[in-house]
Amino acid sequence: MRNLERCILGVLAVALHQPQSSQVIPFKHALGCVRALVNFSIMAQYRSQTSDTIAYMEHYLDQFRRMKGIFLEFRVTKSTLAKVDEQRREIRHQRTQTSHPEAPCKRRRIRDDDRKEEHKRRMDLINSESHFNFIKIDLVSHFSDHIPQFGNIPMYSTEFGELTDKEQIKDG
Amino acid sequence: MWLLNVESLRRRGAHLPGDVLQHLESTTSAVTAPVVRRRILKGGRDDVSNVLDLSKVSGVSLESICRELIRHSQHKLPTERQLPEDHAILQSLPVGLLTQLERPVVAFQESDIYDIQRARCAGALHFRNQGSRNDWIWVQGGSEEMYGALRGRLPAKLVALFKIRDYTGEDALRRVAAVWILSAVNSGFPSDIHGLVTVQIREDAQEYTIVDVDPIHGLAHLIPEGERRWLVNSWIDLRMFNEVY
Repeated sequence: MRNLERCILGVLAVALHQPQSSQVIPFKHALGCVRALVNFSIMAQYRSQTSDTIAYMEHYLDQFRRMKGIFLEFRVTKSTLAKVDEQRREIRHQRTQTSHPEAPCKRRRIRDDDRKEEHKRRMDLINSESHFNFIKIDLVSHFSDHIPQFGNIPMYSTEFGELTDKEQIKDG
Repeated sequence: MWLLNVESLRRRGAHLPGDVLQHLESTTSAVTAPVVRRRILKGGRDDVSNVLDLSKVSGVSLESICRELIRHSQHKLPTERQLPEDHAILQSLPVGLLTQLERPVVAFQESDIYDIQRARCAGALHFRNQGSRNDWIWVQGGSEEMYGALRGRLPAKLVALFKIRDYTGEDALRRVAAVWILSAVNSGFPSDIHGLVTVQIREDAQEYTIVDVDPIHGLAHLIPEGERRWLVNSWIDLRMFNEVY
């Protein structure tokens, strides 16, 4: 994870560097969200903190919270997917009930409008059903209280112990 | 970490044993002189003995090597220590080509712990049976006010690392590097969107420049954005995160 955070922003910036007009805002939000999270994570690795650095951490976390919505569609659960399928079936069933005009250009326009509306309703449903309420996301909000009380975060890292374990296992 | 714990115990009024306190006093009060850390060139190659060989091995024209050496000598060295300007003498000066520069960098938020950064310059040779490796480094290009967030430094690619002995003057050994310096886009200010500084090859850029080993600050990490543009990755470590923003 630590190695990923070192290069993810640069790689993402290159991958999203020439957006189409419709992609400008989502790309900006995605980059802003990743940037805020990486900034927060790097500042949490400081071995000594001041009130300023803690304020920066809180600021980055706020930024992340404001922009994380852009990744909501990747937090879809199985139950949400089932609801999306059900909604799609319902919409298509409603469409079959209504009569369509004969002219092909009108039919095409109606089909495009239907597709757009279906996509919009799908995204609305996903946004309303998906969330970021899991423990690891909640945990980071306690860092700014933890540091003044108990000291810096790397002091409590388990990776040193894990590394020692590996060496001890090899030594037998 | 250990010192922090002992200090915090002291603040809380814990009764530390007398011998522990005595040991602490003796270790903390002793002021040790700072160790002078130097850049070390390593990995000498046997196939280069003078400037002529250097030009053959590195694939750079002899004319341009001599021209750059003279330019570097005129700009950076005092008059009495300058390299000879006669190309025939310059070509015969003994040269040692090296493949590695070890640069000690003070660890972030530490004063006496150093990280050793190793910049490799394999030239056209393969590095560990793979492609050639010529690392990106930071070179001091001006004062701290220049190049925005880069604070006077510019990323450069190593072309060659070598030592040249001037036996015609004071018999001095110069440790120099041939580097390919990039220039900062947008005066070195980071982008509003992703926060990274963009660098590029200038249209009028020289093939390479010769610099002393001393203004090399360590390794740089660049991510290619196009054929002639790169993004400076300032998230690569804590030190860079604090220096480039």
